[in-house]
Amino acid sequence: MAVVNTDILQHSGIRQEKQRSVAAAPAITYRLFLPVILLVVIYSWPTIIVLLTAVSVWISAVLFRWVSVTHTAVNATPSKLSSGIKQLGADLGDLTQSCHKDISTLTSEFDRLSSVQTTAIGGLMQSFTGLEAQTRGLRELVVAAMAKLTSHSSGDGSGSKISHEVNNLIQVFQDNISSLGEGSRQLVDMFNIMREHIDGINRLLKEIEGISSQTNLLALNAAIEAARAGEAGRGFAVVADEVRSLSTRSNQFSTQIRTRFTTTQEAMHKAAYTVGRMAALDMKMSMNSQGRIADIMNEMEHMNGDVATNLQQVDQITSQINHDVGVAVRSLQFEDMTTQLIQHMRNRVLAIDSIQTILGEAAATMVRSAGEETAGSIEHACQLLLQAKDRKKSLANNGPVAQKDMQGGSVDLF
Amino acid sequence: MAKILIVDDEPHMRLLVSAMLKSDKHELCVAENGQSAMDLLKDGGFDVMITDLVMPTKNGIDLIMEIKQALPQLKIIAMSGGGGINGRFDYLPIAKLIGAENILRKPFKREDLSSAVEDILATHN
Repeated sequence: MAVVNTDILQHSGIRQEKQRSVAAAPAITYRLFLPVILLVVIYSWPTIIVLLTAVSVWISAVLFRWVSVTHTAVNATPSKLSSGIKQLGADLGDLTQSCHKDISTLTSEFDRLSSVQTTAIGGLMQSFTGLEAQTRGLRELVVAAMAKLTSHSSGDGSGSKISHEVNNLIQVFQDNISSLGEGSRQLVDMFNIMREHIDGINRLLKEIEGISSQTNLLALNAAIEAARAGEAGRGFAVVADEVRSLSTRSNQFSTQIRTRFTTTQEAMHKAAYTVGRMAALDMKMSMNSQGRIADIMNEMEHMNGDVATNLQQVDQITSQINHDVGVAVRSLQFEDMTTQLIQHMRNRVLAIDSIQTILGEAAATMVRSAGEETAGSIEHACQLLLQAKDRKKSLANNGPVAQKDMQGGSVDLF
Repeated sequence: MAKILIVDDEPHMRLLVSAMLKSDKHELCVAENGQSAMDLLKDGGFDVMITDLVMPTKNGIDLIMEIKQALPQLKIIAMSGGGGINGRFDYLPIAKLIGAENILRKPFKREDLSSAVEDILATHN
């Protein structure tokens, strides 16, 4: 296309140059003869008439000579010009054929592009719409969870209501256990007092046993002394026997009491052992749980705080995802714009194809008329080129969609 | 002079009690809990055991009850700051009830410890 234009311009430039060089000769002639003419006009008008006649004859001769030269120049190398134009037309024809094939392929690819885009964007629209709905549902769940968590919180930053209730419950248990401990302490004190009393009674029993033994010994001595006194001591011997009998009975009672006391002491030992086991159990529980309860409460508070923080972050992320999905869904709606752009590109390519057709026709004309009237064929080809230029100009004035990006706004249809 | 075993989970208390009894020319051994004490006692030769009550692994109450079954001749002095939940469960009287010959409430003076040991040894002899 550019070659043709250049040739045409070059051709037009040659002709104009030639015309300028032919017209320059009379102008120089006029400047040379102007003083003579003025003198003649001033001094003799008949002479002027004669001279005008001579000048007109001369101009005629010059014009005849110019026309002859022009005609000779145009037809100077008819065979060379004809073959050049024929070659030019043939090359132009080949080029337009090749371009036509490319444009045909391009049009087909535009159709495929449009089809693929429509299918893909349809799928994306469906996917993003579903994602948007699911994100909305997720956000509602998170908000509900946060509301539930907040409702369980005391609101003064001191922990959740559940935590407080658990704390109160544990405090009640602690108070009860402390009360039991106080009762146990009193019980242990009483047991210890009882043990001291038992020890005292044990000592008293030993005293009684000692007295009984001593009484028995005294009675025995009295009986011996009564026997030694003979008949006079018979009455005293009876008393001594009764005293011995009382001593023996006293000793028997003492033995029975000791037996019972031993049983009582064994029961006391068993009770003390049981109390000891309870105390040991309490000690283990106290050691294991006393610090652990506070740790558990702190862990619960931390856990609640972490859950609340995480939920807030999830809520923020979900909001951001929701926003991003919204933007994606909105952006996908600009499919119209891209489709129209593709359609416009396709139309533009088809228009270029029609220009190629005109150029091909011009090339064919040049080839056909290469051996005939050369000036007429060039003129016809130039007319075809002008027609192509007009079509190109009208093509440039048709704009596609006015928007240049995916920002909001209406789609400017063409 | 007697052979005495000191049982306490706090190292500084073991050191302190040992320092208090050092001038009385006793032979001293230490254990950090009830289980270690039982292992040492099984080797024999001890006259007196001075034990804390609130200890990990095996507490003083369990230890005393076990000793009263296995080594009834061993004399025991229980020492404690009280103990129990909120400090209202006093273990010292329980220790006495289950067989400790003497009790010492922390904090105690060196003289209290010495006299407690001497009393027990005198009664034992």
